Amino acid sequence: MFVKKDFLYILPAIAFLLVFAVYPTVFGINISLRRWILYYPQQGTPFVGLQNYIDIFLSSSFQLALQTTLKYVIISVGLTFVIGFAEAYLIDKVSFRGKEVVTTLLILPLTIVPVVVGFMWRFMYKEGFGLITAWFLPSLGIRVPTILGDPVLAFWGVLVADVWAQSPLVFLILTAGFTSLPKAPYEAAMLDGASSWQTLRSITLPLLQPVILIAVLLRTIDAFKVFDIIWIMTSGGPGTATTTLNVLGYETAFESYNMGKASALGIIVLYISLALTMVFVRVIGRKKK
Amino acid sequence: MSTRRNNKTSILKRILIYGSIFLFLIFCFVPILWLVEGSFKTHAQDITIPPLWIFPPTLENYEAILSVCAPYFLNSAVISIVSTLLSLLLSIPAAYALSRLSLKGKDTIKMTILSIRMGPAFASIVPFYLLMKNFGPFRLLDTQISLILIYTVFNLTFLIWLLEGFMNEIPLQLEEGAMLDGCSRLGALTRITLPLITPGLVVAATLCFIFSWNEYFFALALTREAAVTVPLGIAMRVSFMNIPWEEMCAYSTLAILPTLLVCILFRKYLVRGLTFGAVKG
Amino acid sequence: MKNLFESRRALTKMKAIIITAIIIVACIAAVAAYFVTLPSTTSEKTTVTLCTWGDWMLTGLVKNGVKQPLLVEFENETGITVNFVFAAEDAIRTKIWLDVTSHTGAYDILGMDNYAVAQLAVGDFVEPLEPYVQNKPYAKYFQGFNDFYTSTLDANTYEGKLYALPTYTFGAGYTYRADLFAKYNVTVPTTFAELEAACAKLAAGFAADGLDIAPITMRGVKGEEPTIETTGITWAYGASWFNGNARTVNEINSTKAMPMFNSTEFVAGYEEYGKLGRNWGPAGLSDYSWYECAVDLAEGRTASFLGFSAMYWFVKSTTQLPLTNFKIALAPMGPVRRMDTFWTFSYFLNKDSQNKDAAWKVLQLIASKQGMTEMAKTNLINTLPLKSLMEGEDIKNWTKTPDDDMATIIESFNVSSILYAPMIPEYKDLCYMLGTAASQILAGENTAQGALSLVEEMAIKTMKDAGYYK
Repeated sequence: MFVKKDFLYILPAIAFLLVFAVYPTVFGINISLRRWILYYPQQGTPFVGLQNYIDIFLSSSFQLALQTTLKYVIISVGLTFVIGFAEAYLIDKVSFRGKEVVTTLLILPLTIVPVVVGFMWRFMYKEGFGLITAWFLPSLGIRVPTILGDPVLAFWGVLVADVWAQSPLVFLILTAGFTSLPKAPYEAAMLDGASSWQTLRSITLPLLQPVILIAVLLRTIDAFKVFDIIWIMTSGGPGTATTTLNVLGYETAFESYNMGKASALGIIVLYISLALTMVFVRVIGRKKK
Repeated sequence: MSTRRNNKTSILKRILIYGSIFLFLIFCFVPILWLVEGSFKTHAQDITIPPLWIFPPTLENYEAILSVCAPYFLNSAVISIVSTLLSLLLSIPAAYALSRLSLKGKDTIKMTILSIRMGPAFASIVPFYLLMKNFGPFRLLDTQISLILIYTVFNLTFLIWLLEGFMNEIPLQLEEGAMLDGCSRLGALTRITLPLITPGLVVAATLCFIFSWNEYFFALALTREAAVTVPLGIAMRVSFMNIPWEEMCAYSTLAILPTLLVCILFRKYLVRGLTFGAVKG
Repeated sequence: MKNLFESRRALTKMKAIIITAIIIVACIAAVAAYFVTLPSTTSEKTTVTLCTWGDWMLTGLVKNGVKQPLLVEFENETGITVNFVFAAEDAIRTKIWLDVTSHTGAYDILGMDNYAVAQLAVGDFVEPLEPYVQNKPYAKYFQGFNDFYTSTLDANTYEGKLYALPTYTFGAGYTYRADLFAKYNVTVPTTFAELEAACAKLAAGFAADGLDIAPITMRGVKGEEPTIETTGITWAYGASWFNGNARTVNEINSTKAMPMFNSTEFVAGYEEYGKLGRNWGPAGLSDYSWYECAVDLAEGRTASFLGFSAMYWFVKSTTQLPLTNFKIALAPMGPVRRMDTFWTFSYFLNKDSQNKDAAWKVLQLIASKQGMTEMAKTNLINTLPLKSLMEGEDIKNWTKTPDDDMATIIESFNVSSILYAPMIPEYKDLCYMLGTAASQILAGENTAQGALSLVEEMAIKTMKDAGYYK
């Protein structure tokens, strides 16, 4: 039923993206094959082929950052998804006065500027008078000398802050999905005496599949790109404990001023997140019946 | 089916459900309460342990920032609203086309669009800077336009996917039925499909707004004085000498308000939920 | 009939959508027309834009967005309007580098630090200042170089040319809580061995009294921050960055001097730093920036700071504790030399500036005695590069500095210089690697030997890639 002229629908968006996304992409690929140090402009941008890529792959800082990033992305996406899904599921199940208020409050962390999220949690983690280190954890009987100063705890500290700020994204997307669910299958299931676990597994999850996919993809891509929170809380430290690929890239571009290498790293990160995304599409995005 | 047995399990269930919701609420809300309260504290009050939840408030933090930050809020508002509108305008037809189109390269197109979002900022900042510096005859550095354009690019990348996902849930029969009645394709889109995916549209618009409002890195690179946005304004208060935490709280509390307003305005549309059980059966 | 009706409604709908679209595009165009900067015709007023993270040093000119009398007078006399762009350090660095690399020239004056001197000079992004001084001094504000401490000018000179005027500097100092030292009967250390003993004694005293105070603090956050101190300590232990202490591009190239980061002396210096930090530093030290150190010292959570003399004025200007509690001593001696932490903050003239003459005038204002006097008066800054100010009487009153402390600061300037660090464009990059190693050591991620071996590898690669050792 779709006529060829309906192609026009997609044209404005594609045209827009082409204009603005092509130049940076081409530029990035071009520069990644060259050597460009910002403070040596007289050296120009000589072609070095794949040297930047080889240097990156062989460097221990890249390998370490890759490990850290994969760990970070998988845990972050997993946690935000579980939390966001749980929140959406529970909110969908209940109805009470003030439900809208509760929903809005649950969305709030997403509305905080990431730079502020970084400062806020850094302040809460501060040894001596931070809300968490000096009040919350001691009231649970846990005393830690430092969070952001310890390599392992810093990783988890940054992760918690990120999960806190980003779970509402999953919540929001899934809530839209939940509210669009048809009533009929559920009524049928109740008549058949199905338990809530069974309804969840065989009715809700399949119906929500496209929405779940979107939420996971979006979260994965954003998790690869987390920067502000990490930079403000630990600058990628202590040592290299929270240096993800994105942090490494920023350092390469704006501390070492090595743009060639930074572009190459950008392309590598793009392909890694593309690969992970496609894995998720395969696993979650089964064809609709 | 015994009603008494149902009541007992449902009470236990209810406790579990409401209890979990309460815990999530605490998790989400307590830090924000801390933030908002911090905006009314002096530094000395801020660092006392056990933390002060009730204390005599002060307005000095708000006074300190209000004189400077009004233009930033204006910039952020214009940029976020225009970018959201533009993104929706471009992405709705595109998502519709992708949803209804049966084309071989559809998945490739979708993946390519999404991959634009995956490029990390540090790599794209220099080309975007150069692009905006000399965009044809225009000098777009330090203008709202540059940020609107860039944010639209990034918003489009996920909006198309999101809206296509929601549109996929609307069965074709509804539109075909309408078109048999004499409706045009566009009419079917606007009068059948869009109303049915209102929750999705609301979420999409909210997310666009939030992303545009909160974006920091491109705002940092592409603006100087005239087009400074709120997140950049907050970061610019941090100086060598001082991280004005209480001021930052005040600033952030003000910054939450517009996005909060957007959320509140459209929450109703989300919760209302439109089902179409009649057709799904 | 029905079809016609439907299609007419559809048409109206279509028209509505098109009209909305046109309105939106028109709005965008209007906004664009308002904000897009088209090539401007010559304007009456000249504007000079200054971009820096050192807004706290310019409070004599502009405070909280309000222009101060000194600047207002200048603007009236010269007809120049000065705009300021302030933000945090890494934000400003990013902005400045984007500007100079693309030759945009939006920022006429760049306020940066020594890390940038070699890079900006080599890249030919900034103007050498001597020609300007020869031809066009604004005598009211600039009276020549004699009043500047030579060390501060040397730090801003690259291959014989001066590229920036310094307005602020560090000497090598050690700030401590005199009251706590007196209370626990601790003598002020003059060597690293004495420093360790002092820390141990303080720690014992604090523990006995149940006080949660760290005897010492230093910068430890990953990045280039700790490097000034850590390489100051390695200097004290007799180490040098490159073989034979080659410091300039020519020296390194002519002697093919390799980096010496895993030499015995260098490792010893880092081990000392690690020992002090891990045994007697606060718990979160591996994430401590300049700011955390200062706040800890000012708020009484630490008893001393091993680093630059400038910490002293900052702490005193923000603390609620009595000012007499804080005193300053010279940085300790190591086995070979005294620890050095020399650094300057200075202002450069952008080569792509459209208003170089006007910018030069503003530069002279900033680096003038009047400008620095305001720095001292408004922020209690007592580490300035002008001899007449530092050695005069007034500064002690303005900055509430007792005579003996002022003498110590001046002495710290005299024994301190940029010789402990190399003057090459790769300096900043190497600082970043060395600072990250410091943070690793404090966090217990690696030993000094291990961390520095990694740095040595990376440094050799960086130097080779940059074309040295050909």
